[in-house]
Amino acid sequence: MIEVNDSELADKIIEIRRKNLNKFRKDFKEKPVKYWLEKDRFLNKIGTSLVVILATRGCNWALSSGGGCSMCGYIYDSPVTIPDSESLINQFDLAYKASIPVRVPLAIKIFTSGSFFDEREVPKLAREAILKRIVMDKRVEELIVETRPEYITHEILRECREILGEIHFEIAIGLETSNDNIRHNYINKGFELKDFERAVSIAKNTGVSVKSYLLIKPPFLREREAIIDSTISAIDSFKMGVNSVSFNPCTVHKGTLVEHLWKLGNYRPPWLWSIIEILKNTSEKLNNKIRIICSLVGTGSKKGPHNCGKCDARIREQLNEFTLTQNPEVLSNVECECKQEWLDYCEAEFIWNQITNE
Amino acid sequence: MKNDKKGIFEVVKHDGPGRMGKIDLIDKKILTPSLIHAHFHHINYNSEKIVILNVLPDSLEEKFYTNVFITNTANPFIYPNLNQNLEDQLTLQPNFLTVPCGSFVELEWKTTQSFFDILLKNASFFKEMVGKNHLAVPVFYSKYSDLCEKQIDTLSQIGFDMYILKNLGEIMGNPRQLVEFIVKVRERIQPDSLVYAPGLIHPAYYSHLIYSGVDIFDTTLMIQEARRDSLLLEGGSKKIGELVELPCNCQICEAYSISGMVKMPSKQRFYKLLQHNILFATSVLKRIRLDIREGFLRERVELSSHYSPTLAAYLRILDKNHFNFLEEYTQIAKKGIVYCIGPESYHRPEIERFRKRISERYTPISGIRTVVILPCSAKKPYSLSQSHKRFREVIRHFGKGLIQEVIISSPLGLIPRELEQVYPAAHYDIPVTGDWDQEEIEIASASISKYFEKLDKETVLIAHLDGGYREACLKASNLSGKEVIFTEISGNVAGEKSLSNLKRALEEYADLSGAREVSKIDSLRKVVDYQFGIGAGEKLIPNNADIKRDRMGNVKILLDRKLVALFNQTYGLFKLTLRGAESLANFGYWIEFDGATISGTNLFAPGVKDADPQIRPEDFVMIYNCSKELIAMGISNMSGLEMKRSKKGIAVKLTEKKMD
Repeated sequence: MIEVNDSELADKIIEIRRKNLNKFRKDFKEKPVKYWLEKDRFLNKIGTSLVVILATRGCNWALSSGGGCSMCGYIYDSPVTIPDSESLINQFDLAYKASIPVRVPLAIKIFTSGSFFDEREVPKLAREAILKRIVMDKRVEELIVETRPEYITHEILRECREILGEIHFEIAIGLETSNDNIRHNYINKGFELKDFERAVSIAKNTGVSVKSYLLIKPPFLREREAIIDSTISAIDSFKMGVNSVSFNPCTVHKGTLVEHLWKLGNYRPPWLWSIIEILKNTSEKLNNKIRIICSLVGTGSKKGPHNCGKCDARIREQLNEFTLTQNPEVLSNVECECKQEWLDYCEAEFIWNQITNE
Repeated sequence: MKNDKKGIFEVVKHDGPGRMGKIDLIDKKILTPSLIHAHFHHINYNSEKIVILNVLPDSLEEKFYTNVFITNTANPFIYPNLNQNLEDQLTLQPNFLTVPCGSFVELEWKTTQSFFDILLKNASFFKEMVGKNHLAVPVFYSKYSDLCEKQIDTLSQIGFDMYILKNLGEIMGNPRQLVEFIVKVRERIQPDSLVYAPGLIHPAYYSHLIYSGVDIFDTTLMIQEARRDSLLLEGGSKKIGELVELPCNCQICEAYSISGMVKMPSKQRFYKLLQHNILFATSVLKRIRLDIREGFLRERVELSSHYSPTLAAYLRILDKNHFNFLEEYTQIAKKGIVYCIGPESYHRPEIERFRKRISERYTPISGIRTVVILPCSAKKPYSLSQSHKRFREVIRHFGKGLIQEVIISSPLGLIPRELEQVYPAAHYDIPVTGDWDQEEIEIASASISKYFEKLDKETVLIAHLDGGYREACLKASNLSGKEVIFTEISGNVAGEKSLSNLKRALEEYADLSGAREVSKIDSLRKVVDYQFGIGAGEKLIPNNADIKRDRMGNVKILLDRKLVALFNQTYGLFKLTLRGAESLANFGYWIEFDGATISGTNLFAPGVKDADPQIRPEDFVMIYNCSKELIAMGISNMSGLEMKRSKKGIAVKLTEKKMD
């Protein structure tokens, strides 16, 4: 764990952060940032997930002198006033109501845009109350919470495990890439691979599953490099004993370094073709040994992963189809004229070193 | 700093900093400036590696390709293992190994600095491990000029065979940054290193970049435009759908119609358009190579300046900020005419150099009491023109050689009569309308007033001028504080009325009392001074020299019946013999040969131990051996600094060698 940040990027990130924290953060409105139901991939079937993004104090890494991550603008979703335990429980209850019509199987995903196990964000009292509510619901088969690895301890996981009983419990960690250099120099993530590995081994010891979030195309990486990086990271995740990988194609968040680069014409979110290639590569190499998920945000817009504009909607459907079915065949019959352009782009980037934002 | 490694590139001919050369690859030679093919593995066939740049063949068939070098130089953060990278490159056996660098997005001074540190570390590693191979290195533009400069300096000190200009995209629209970056690189690296400008560069930019010393371009733009259904044209590109007829006579435009092209499957159309685009770019380069052979590159650059304001600004900034850089590589004379069409010609290096030499190397002939200032003529040398014949008839009337004649012209400034045959005074051509713009008046008056300041106080100045000439002279008179008598011009300057006014003015004001008669020798000495420096004339042409003319009318200088020097009218220069060179022993233009005797008819750059930095291409030079004896004469093919630093290429074409 790198407490004092020595990344070259940190200064710039902190500068952007400072400028925007007061500008973008709003007052607390006694409800979650967002919650919704979605069709989702379970361990071996398709079901429904309730996704809740709790409004908390915000990610400690983003608030710290380390500056936070270069692509993440979720910190601006956290309210100016800090919600207490009671308020967090109320938020969860409010979202939970939305799941009432859902039949089995149900999965619940709790995000805080930070760490569920950071007690500054979610105090022990709130955590236990929420878990106890979930275990009461017999429909729930899976629970997924998100956290940075430094908050994962034997103690906390054992406690959770005890409360949750039969429910499949998975902790999702934003590894982003298995390459320490990229994570340190381009993302400014603030932890190293060995921190992640430590967290995985604690999880294994306590019977908890791990999902690694992998960022497709961190800033400063060229398209071809990003494809290679994500593929390698997925394989590394598998080798480390991770149960699921979730690819997150980078989107341009407001008030981030990535947005700064994007405005200068120095960053283009990944092509959908690149995502297809990564999913094909990884599912071929990992061959259904782990769950491979691709969660798309902002697809088709200039600030999100996109192709030419004509094929984006169609390809998004196919990518979602892959996540649900885990069948790589659904990706094989995608075609569009812009595929050639993407191939050119991957090559020309090496020669020209210059990106077009289109 | 010449090491044992054999050079891979040879400069064949200069035209300013632009050059035509040969790259010696394993299986073939490529002429530069040239276009190399960006090998995209999905466009061409067999490669599993990501990008290999290949020599562009005349056809798109792969069998003609040669691996030049690899540009997928790995990102050091992802592939920190340099040994592995090197091994990977070695298995592909390209002609150049490339120092890996990855990509680079400019952010803060600190991030740029740490990026450059990695680049320089990798560069040193490659030089150390595979210094015997030919090496290419990326050199990055950075807005932090201190870091950028340090990077260029360090890389050029390590020494590479090719420099790849990176991040040009940031500055393609910014002529000032573009000029400064390219010139900075070109000035500091070894003169026989190649410069490659990769990426999306339109052929309209080629002549400008080549003139600044770039040797290689690639086909990235041609591929991109073809993919967008666009055809490259002179100043830009056009989508096929927007055209009524195909724009040229290349084999593609000849063979297809617009509607035929539109109906084609897109993949086929892509290849057709690509072929047109590549043919277009190569034809531009062929024209430029021809221009360099003929010495017309500058004219091509001036022409191309009209494609866009960016290009026009590029040339202006280059001329204004980098005269020394341009002048060093600009030939002292060339066969053919120097065209000065518009304002972009006012500061071309030959012209600027002439004005500089008049001010630095010319001293008025002593004993001159009266100077007549005349306008130039279209015919060169001026004295052969009808108008000058008439002027001289009037002036000679007062005595041969008693009155000094000087001529004013734009953009040359002031030309003393004795120098009217030197290059480029007898070799330039301008559109003569008599209308001068402010800048022309500025330039000419500066040159005239510098001349005025060299004259004795009492010298009588009589100007027989009208229009812009008169204005420039008036301004010079104000600048220098010298009084000038202007004759009255009525109608044509060379008309009878004006001439009689000139005659009257001379009768009234000319000071002939103590005037010394100026001899032919006096005049010729001034030409020698102009070519070799002040004082050279008296050394080369002593009072007992004989002046003769050969059958072609060229002036010969003989000493004890032996030829000393011959004036070549085509080049406007004296050609020296060894006999003549001996008397100019201490006047510069020397080359120190790294040996005792030269065999063959050329002196090659590796044999040059040291050379006078004032040597320019086409200068007459004197070659001394290691024991400081004059052993040969010749015409230089490079600048002095360049031949000293180059590992390859002809430095001097010998004209005469000392017989033992």
